[in-house]
Amino acid sequence: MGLNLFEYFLRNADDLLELTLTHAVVVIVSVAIAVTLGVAAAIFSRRKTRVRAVCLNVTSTFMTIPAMALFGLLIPLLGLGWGPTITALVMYALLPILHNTIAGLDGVDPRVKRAAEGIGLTPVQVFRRVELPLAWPVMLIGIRVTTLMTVSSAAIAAYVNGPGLGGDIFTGLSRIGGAGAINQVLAAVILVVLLGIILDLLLQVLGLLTGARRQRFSRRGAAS
Amino acid sequence: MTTMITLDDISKKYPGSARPAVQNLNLEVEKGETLVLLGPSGCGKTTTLEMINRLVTPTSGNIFINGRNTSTLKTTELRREIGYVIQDAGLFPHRTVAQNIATVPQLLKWQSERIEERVDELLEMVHLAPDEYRNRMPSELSGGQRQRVGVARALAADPDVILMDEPFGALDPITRGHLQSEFLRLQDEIHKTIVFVTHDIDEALRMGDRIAVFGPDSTIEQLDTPMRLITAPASPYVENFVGGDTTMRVLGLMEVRADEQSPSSAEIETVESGTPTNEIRIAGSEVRDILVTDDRGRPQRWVLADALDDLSGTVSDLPGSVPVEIEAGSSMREAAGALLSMPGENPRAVIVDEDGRVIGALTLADVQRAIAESGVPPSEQVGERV
Ligand SMILES: Nc1ncnc2c1ncn2[C@@H]1O[C@H](COP(=O)(O)OP(=O)(O)OP(=O)(O)O)[C@@H](O)[C@H]1O
Ligand SMILES: [Mg+2]
Repeated sequence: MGLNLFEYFLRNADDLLELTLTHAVVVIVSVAIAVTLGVAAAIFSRRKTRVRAVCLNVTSTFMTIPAMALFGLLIPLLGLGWGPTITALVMYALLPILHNTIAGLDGVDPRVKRAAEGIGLTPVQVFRRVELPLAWPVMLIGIRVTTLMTVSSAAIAAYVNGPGLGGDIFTGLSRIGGAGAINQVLAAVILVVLLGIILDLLLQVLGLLTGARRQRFSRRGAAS
Repeated sequence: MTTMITLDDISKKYPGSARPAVQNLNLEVEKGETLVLLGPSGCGKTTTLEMINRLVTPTSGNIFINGRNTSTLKTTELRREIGYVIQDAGLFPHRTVAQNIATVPQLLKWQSERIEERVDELLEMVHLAPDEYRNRMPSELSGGQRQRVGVARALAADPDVILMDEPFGALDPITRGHLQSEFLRLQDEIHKTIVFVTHDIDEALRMGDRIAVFGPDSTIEQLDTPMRLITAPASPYVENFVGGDTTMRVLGLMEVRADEQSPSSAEIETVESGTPTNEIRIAGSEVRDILVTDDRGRPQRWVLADALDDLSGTVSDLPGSVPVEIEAGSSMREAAGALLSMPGENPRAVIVDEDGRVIGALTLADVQRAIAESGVPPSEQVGERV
């Protein structure tokens, strides 16, 4: 090793920061799309057992496709770069979100729903005020799992020229033994791991804020 | 008496089930009464109750509340006008006690100050200190407290009608007893029209002004007052459902009163403490046991007739025994229990009013007379049936 890892970081700070931010954007966009689709599918298929089974089977099939193959197969359809990257990552991200949203909604005590209906909440109010908040902690776990998974799979997107830190890992590995190759790979891997930790922490904070809000109410509690 | 709720030839057949859950049911609930729906599991009590707030839509028939056909009303608006309490309360676990109670007033768009006041008022009403409980989460309450909050939530918007589906069913017997008495006292003040589902005969007898006993085939076998149900069951089915223990149940329904119900009251002789004994001998024509009271009429001691031979001092100097007190309004069953556990051949308890003043006396003979007059068939008074 000519340079030590620390010097490598210092020398390439600007590039590495930009790559990390790009990587973060890829993850956030993919997860956001997956959450939208997954939650929508979970809600849509709530009382339709057949539809629900189809959704779960399709998304678990997505997850079993080997990553390299999926990215590669998307090239003829979507070319290189952002298109196949986001598409593949969303496909991988759907299952945990869909699954946990369904589990969260199913876990709401039916008597609580019955009581909510019985005292005059509309179906939409029952969903928004009772089912969704009660399902939220379980949904959030799904989102956290998905986010961590996506941070790591996003590196493989370099295979289709995708944006992010994966490029450094791929090039570094391809010229292993060459000058600074190990540092290049190590630096990218460390940043991927750090990004994962940071995003997960942010989600945990979000969880605390949304969960804790229930407890912290004005002293005269009634007004919300 | 005006009718509050009318069920007019109501039937409900759930899709996919062979038998209707409720069949051609006709029922009227008077304004201000508590009507209990009593019957074995699966006989359609919950279904009947939930058709009133349209959680279940009747297959046929009409339901009127206050003269309005409920099928013509918007369901959410109808439900906001009806209190609803279920077993284990069904509180929203992610909302505070105050928010739970405030649910319906908020839906009705009350002003927030008015809601806050109402929440505190209701918490007081169900015996939960507002400052302590307002901001608790349901998980931070005991089962009994949760059920109280459930009742408060149902009362929030001051509905005329309250539907209760086994509201105390998940509680231990002691807590259940407490909540029953509290609720009876509350109902004495608020006079709501209540439909109350239970499969517990003792709860039904206690809570109901009238009881509808459902047969296994979802028809009403008998609709009557608790007393009539016990003393004049309309069919062997009802008799069997109401079960043995007839005498004790009848006693449980009777209140202790100091009137013709307890003739011993007329014979009781009270004397204020400090009265000279010789004055008593002159006042009374025949020698009886006397009850010494304080200056406010509260019982102190029984002094037996024999002891009155000593004319030297005042009644307070004479030997005596501490009287057993029974408050007027408590059940004859409790009173009988107290009498039976007293020593002596002719146990006698003092009936006091709510201020503790003597208003009469009760003996086992009074209890027996009350049973005889209630119309319980004598063969059943033995109570050997289990
Ligand atoms: N949603 C439903 N779908 C199909 N059948 C139902 C449904 N709800 C109740 N039933 C059936 O209707 C009948 C009456 O049920 P209901 O819940 O009214 O009984 P219940 O008297 O309240 O019983 P319990 O004392 O056990 O609560 C039962 O045979 C039950 O299986
Ligand atoms: Mg029921």
